[in-house]
Amino acid sequence: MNRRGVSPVVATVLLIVIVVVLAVIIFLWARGFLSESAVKGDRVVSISCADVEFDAQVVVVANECDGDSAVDINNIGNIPIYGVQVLRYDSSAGSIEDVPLTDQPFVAGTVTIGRSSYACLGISVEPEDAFRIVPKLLAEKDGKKIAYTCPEKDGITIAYVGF
Amino acid sequence: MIGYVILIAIAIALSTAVFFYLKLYLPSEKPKCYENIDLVIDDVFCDLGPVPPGGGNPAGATVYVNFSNRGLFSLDAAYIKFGEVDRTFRTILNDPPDRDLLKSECNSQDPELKPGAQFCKDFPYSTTVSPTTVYEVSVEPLIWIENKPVLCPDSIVRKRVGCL
Repeated sequence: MNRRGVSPVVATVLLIVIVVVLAVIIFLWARGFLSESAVKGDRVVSISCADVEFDAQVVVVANECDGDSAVDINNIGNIPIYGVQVLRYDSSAGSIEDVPLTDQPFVAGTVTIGRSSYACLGISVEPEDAFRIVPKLLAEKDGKKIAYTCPEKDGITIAYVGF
Repeated sequence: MIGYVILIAIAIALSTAVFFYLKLYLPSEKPKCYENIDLVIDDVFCDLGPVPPGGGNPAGATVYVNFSNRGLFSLDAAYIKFGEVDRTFRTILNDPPDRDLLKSECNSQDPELKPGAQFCKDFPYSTTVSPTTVYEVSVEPLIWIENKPVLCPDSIVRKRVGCL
């Protein structure tokens, strides 16, 4: 029997090559993740979405909006709310409509902690309508400020529409 | 020998990358309001302003708010809000999170509202007020933890009031 293994030099080189290849694969995988994520402070913004706490109401006739409909926001939590996405459920058609709003629709700008504000909707609202209000947070992505819309699960559903 | 050095360097680089990756994605411990914070609104009055010469609703009111700290911790500030009871939108009567806002005659001008202490103050409200509308005063406590203002959403107290 004359069985010989690989020399120590070859074994070491093989080991280094395997580790380098693994490192490159992990780096490329992580880079793909990181470049996709918007960041708020030193964390991914989606983590902050779970901490947003607010009350909301859709008002059919708001004097501040010249009699048009409006969405009221009362920020009772510790995360500033930059804007909202307003989704209207149409139970008869079984569809969801995205009410068009600008990124930062609130009067007086971002609703900082403890503050309250409203945004004019400019749509016709019926008292039986149901809405889901999803917060938008100001985040940073690739060095630029962006309005990040939180996942729908972090919003609140409004079944009652105020007058 | 060089092989081992390279291996160790790569291992350290990888662990550093994984650390920063996890730091970015894992939720951090944020300062949270204490549990035993308890406010009670003792009194609220709303005095209508003068009726305009042409008639109609007064262009403002004076809101008197009196509340006590019945909890176990001192409060650094509080958001005192006023608005129609049917609306979520509220006007802030004071201006937190600046400190010294809980100074009042009922509190011997102490900037903190210590347990058992009382706050009382008149606030001007400059929006048109109707004597037939029901309004609501809400008070949300705020404390400073690690030099950051932290709101206490679970300790908000509310009281309805009509303007006379």
